[in-house]
Amino acid sequence: MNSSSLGIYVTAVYVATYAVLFGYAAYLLWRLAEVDRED
Amino acid sequence: MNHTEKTSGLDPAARAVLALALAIFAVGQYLAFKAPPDVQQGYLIRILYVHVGAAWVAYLAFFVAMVYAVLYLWKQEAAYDRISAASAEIGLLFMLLTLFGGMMWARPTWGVFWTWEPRLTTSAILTAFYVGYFLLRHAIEDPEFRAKAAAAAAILGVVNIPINYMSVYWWRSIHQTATFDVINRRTHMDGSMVAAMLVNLLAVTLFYLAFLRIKGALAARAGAREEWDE
Repeated sequence: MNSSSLGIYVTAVYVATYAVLFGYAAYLLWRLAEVDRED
Repeated sequence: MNHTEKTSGLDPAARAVLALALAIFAVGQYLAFKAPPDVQQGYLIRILYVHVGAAWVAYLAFFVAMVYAVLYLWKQEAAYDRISAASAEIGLLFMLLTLFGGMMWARPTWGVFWTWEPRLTTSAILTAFYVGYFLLRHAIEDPEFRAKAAAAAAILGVVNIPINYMSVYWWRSIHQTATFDVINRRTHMDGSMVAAMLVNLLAVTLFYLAFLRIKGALAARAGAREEWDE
């Protein structure tokens, strides 16, 4: 398998990691803002 | 008194931990991309720097869920149940990330995304267990009974962790042994690779702590609202 096709797998893992870390952080902060507004 | 007055917004501790996590993660990512390629796997080794961290946080989160489950059964305070559930949720999220990372690593190295070898099988069982944990929580309406059943499940769930960790030693298969052999206290990695992995490990741990703090605050607010409504 050549190195460019290997890059797809590495990229997929890093994109998923960023999505979880930043996406979940953003979701929690959004939920906190929502709760603040409702209160 | 307005019950949310003192707890509104992101508290300073969560803000500080989240900011620190972001800063350390940035350094970790820089180190991961600066680290040399592996002799056998080339740059595919970069998956390791985030894959191990995700697995570690999943273990940690499930362990913390167990600790708070024990505290709930001991003290009978709903707050402990809420933190236990919050930690289990984060653990499940990171466990799914671990499975995805593992599959992306397996395809180019083993030729398949998934195979029922011991580490992967025990990882699937661990994940399925915590999916079951949340199904259980949603299936029970009575808050007290739900908290007790969930606490029992959270305590039982951690049994899977040592089995999952040790599976690569007990049933030698195609999955590599631990990157950090905590039993024999050794690693086979180059120093720059170790640094990249440890910094990323620290960063995701801090992310976990920040997430738990925010999730805990959200759960506490939900609990306070339920009491307010009654």
